[in-house]
Amino acid sequence: MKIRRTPGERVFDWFNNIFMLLILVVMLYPFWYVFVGSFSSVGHLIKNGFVLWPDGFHLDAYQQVFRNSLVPTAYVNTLIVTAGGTLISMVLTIMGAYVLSLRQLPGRTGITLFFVFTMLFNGGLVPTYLVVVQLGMIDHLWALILPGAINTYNLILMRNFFQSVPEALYEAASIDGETMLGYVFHILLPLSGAAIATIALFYAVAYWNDYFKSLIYIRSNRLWPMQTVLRQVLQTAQMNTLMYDDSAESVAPETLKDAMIMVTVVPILVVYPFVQKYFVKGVMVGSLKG
Amino acid sequence: MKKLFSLIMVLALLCTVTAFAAAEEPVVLNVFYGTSRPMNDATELTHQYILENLGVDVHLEQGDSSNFNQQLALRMTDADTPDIVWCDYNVWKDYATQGAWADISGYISEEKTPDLMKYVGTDWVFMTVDDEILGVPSELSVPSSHVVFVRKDWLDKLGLDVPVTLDEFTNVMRAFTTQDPDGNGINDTYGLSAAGATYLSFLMGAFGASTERDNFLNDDGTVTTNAISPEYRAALQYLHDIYAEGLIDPELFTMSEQSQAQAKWGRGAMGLWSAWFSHASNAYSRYDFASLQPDAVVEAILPPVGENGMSGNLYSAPFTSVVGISAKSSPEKVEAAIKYLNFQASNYGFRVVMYGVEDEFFDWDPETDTTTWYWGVNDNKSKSGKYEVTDMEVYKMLFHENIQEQTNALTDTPYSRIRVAGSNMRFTEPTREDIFCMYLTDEYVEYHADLDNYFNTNMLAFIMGEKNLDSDWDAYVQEYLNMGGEEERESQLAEYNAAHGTNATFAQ
Repeated sequence: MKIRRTPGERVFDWFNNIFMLLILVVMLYPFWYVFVGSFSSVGHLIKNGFVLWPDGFHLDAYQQVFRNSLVPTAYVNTLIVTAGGTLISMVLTIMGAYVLSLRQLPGRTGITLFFVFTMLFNGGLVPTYLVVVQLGMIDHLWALILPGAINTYNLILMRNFFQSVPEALYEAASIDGETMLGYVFHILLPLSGAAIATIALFYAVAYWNDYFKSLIYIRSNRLWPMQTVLRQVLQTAQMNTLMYDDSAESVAPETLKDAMIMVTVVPILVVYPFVQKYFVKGVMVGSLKG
Repeated sequence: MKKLFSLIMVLALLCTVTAFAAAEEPVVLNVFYGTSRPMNDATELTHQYILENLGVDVHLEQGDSSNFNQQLALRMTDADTPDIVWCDYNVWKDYATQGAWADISGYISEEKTPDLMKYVGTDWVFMTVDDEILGVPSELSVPSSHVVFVRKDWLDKLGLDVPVTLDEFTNVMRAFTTQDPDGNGINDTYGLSAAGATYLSFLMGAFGASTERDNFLNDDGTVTTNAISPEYRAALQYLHDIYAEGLIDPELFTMSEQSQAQAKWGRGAMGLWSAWFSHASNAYSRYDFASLQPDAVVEAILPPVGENGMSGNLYSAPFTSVVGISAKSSPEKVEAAIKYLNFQASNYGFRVVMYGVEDEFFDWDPETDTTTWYWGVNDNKSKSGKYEVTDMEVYKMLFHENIQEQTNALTDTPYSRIRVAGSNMRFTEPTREDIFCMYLTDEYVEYHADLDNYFNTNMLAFIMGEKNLDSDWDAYVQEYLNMGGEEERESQLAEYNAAHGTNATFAQ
């Protein structure tokens, strides 16, 4: 049956669509501008300011980016940290979340509150730094993974999802002779695809985007991840137009910045379409049960 | 006996070999400073040169320049502190009072480190805390770094001469604003633009004032505090008038990045550009200025002369950053660090850390003391073509602007011409020295952030007309003095008088 819509509703829809379209443009244009800028000549950007299309297909900026000897190693470092970190984080988060979701766990509320406490208060930068130093992780990629391996927000989210799975499933499985570990691997995790994909994406994006830990814990630039190299390129671009600059680099800082941003952002952006079907389901994970 | 003799010989040989090996072992120095300069195959040659010629293996740890002080604070809590830290003068001083730096007085002398002694000159006094010398200043050796550039082709088109006096500058700015110098039929140009109000100092200099909280020594021995002086007030009135007349780009006050001013210059939005000395040349090399403004002729010019004969651009302090050597470093490392710094202080050593190794990145004629550098030519390749020539300064910690001045452009291009002209102008144009700039007293540390903020906010308010100089000036001065300005300048004057053996007082 087709629902009849009033003229007022139609007008509202029109304005709603226009409004959403404007928001889309506002969100998308900066990214489009960076994309266009990375392939444009600097003269085109300076002359026109607001541009919609490149004035050709200039690859000088990309050539300059890939001539930076740090870029290949930084890519490898980022991939190691993102893949390894996400794996470790997921294993630890799933383990923690499952245990916290068990009603028979003694002191469950207290333990959960203990975790939640860390969301509000932490040891601070200097004590955390000293712990990492004492653990011998300075100038190792482990320092980029282990200090933030469990995100409490994600842990609680996952715990809530596990709690929403009917307990009867476990009882049925145990009657059929399944152990607790077997239940987790054979029943719970396959049912949690959406939650796992969503939280894995949260972790992966966080690892991919993180630059601060490497600033603090990494001393050798050969261990820098992409975001730190991006930051270096951006700062160099700014510094070169600012201070003691004498070099006669021919590539403009603007196009170089744009190309570097594209190189850094595109790989993680490519991941989104593959997990989108889980993501839409997953954003509701754990939101109804506390 | 024979056996004993053989044994002694073998032992002696072993000792010699061990001693030789030990002597060959380079001293590793961990160097930490905030930089984003790239390290690559070309800069590795510099590293190797230092290793082979000084026996020092420099491990450079690049800090993040915008988070450097935070990173440094963490590194100083660490057992493994860096051997060499290059930081701002005030940061160095803070750590100096906490005993973080090694006393280098036993390692420096005319005999041992002649280049370093010559380089620092009398500025060791600023490095001395409780009779210990705790650092090496990065001397700027340049009176100013701001330079005014003019579109000479616009002057010619409008039949104007290069301005000399303040009135002539005003007339030129007016003509650039109203007479359509770019000939596009649209009134879209300004007389002057720049990235920030600090670049207006060249105009304030015509009144004997500046855009900073400077203190000037007068001919009669008194000291004038710029922020509350009549000269500064007169300069503000002038700037307010030309702002109100629309001769200066209103975005001058809100631009935070030099690239924005570069873009305006590229679009031909202004005829006068007050900028860093190298920016006009960068416009050619990086911002496609030659294509955007094909008819442009750019010249670096002197700042205007005021009615009282005063003139000057923004003053550069003798140094703003210092190299400190960690108190936790072994004597061997301190000695190696001083050796490394002495090398950088030398004429030749500076060139190596500034340009790269000789014959590949630069040639030097010691007789004329002229450097020919290979930047901007040979398709940005080194002399042999093997290396990319980019930014080579990653190992440089001691500035030597006067040596940099003795560089010789290889090509007669607009880029090279304005690069050399801009660089030369720094040494030609007058400046007015801020005599308290090195006296970071306790009162300065306590009040300077609030005073800077108050001063800058009010400077903009007076220029843009939010505050009226006739009605609000006295209240501004009183508030400035009450919020710590008086205590700060009195403490600095006391230190200045003590250091110079003078009895200077403030001008009324």
